[in-house]
Amino acid sequence: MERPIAYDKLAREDRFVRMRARRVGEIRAEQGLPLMPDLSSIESIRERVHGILVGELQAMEGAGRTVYDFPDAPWEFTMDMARQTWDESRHVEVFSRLLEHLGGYIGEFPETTILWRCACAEDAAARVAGVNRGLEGLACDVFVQLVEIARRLPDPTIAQSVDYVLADEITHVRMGSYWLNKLTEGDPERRQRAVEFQESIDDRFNLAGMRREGPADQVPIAIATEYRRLAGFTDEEIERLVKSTQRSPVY
Amino acid sequence: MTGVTPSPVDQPGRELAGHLGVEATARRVRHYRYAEERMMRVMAGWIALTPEIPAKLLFGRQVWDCAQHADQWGKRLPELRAPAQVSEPAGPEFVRFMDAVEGREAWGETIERLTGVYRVLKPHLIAAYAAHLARANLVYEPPTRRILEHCLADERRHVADGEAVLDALVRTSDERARVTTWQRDLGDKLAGSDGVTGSVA
Repeated sequence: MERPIAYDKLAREDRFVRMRARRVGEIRAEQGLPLMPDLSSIESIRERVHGILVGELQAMEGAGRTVYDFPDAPWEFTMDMARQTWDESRHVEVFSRLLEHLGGYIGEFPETTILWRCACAEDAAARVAGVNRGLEGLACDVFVQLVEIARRLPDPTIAQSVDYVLADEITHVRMGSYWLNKLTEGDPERRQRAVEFQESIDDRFNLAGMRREGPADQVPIAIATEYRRLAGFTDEEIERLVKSTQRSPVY
Repeated sequence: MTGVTPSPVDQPGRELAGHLGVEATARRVRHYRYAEERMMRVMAGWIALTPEIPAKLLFGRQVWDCAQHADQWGKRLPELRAPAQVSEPAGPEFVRFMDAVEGREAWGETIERLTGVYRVLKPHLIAAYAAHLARANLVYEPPTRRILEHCLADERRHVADGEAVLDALVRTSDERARVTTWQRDLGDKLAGSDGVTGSVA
């Protein structure tokens, strides 16, 4: 099997509609819609859940590729990535069912591969920094907010199931924090490259200022400061992320 | 006098004679670890290359089980005076068999991937584990027996789940023929390799 695979080799059933992220952004702008679904209605929550579902699918595929792509990495690293693969498979099922719960279906909205592209880094340290700390950190932000909104609706089905997924995501970020340090021990240049890769992802997913500090019901994506600390982010890293939210072109 | 407790050595099946020595068992464990580790990595790598969601999720769920099997075998090794977490194929023919299983990676070959794992590789592992368990000594080999029992239970469940997904995906006579052909081809390769243990078909 090819190692690593090209980002355009991601296999999908026909019912999925794949589109470049930039094009999705253009279409949303043409329709006068915000860059991301704003969670202000069931329809927008459904669209957000569809986006999360395809993100979880790509996360499962990415974790699986990390197991395959790095046979010489420490065995404990492989174990963590195998565990993550299983976790992500549950997340796919959770969000598939939530999509049905909200009256939606797979393929109702387009899928972009922008998350998957981030999971194609050729260095294991960069991949865990980018995916486990960058993207799974973003997932923590998104899920904390979704749980809070679901509790307010109230929709206990969404609130409880997503809260379990959130617990897993914190574990994945923690794994990323551990392996970023472990894999780059004694190699500050490799560590720097990995951190820069993660920061580029953080910048990209600030979504033109949509992610920022603030209450879940007042900002499009709120930075989950408390949960990020729980997952191993330092105060300095969180402060850097908050500052970086002032600038960010993604689409 | 009544109530004399029989000596443990008098109980049937608790004889001290066994079929594999310490070194031979360690070698066997490395062979099992090779199969579980490689199967785990291959299934993990296939997830992104497999279009059908049920098959993707099937691989995704089982990768962790197989990783735990490999890990348990790897941790058993130092208890058998061997280095921990080492995989060793039984021979080059078994490696070639695994290469063949892994090689069906194209988008349109999900049926072959499922056939390779759930009709050939895992059933073979089940047979090997069951045969080993049947002969592993009850007095001094319970640590190995426990791992065999765990792996057997998981692998049997995997095959049942995999068969269900394969059955749902195979709809036409052409697809059924593909399953039959690939199962036969792989079975031939496996038979020619002496299997995961290097000593049984």
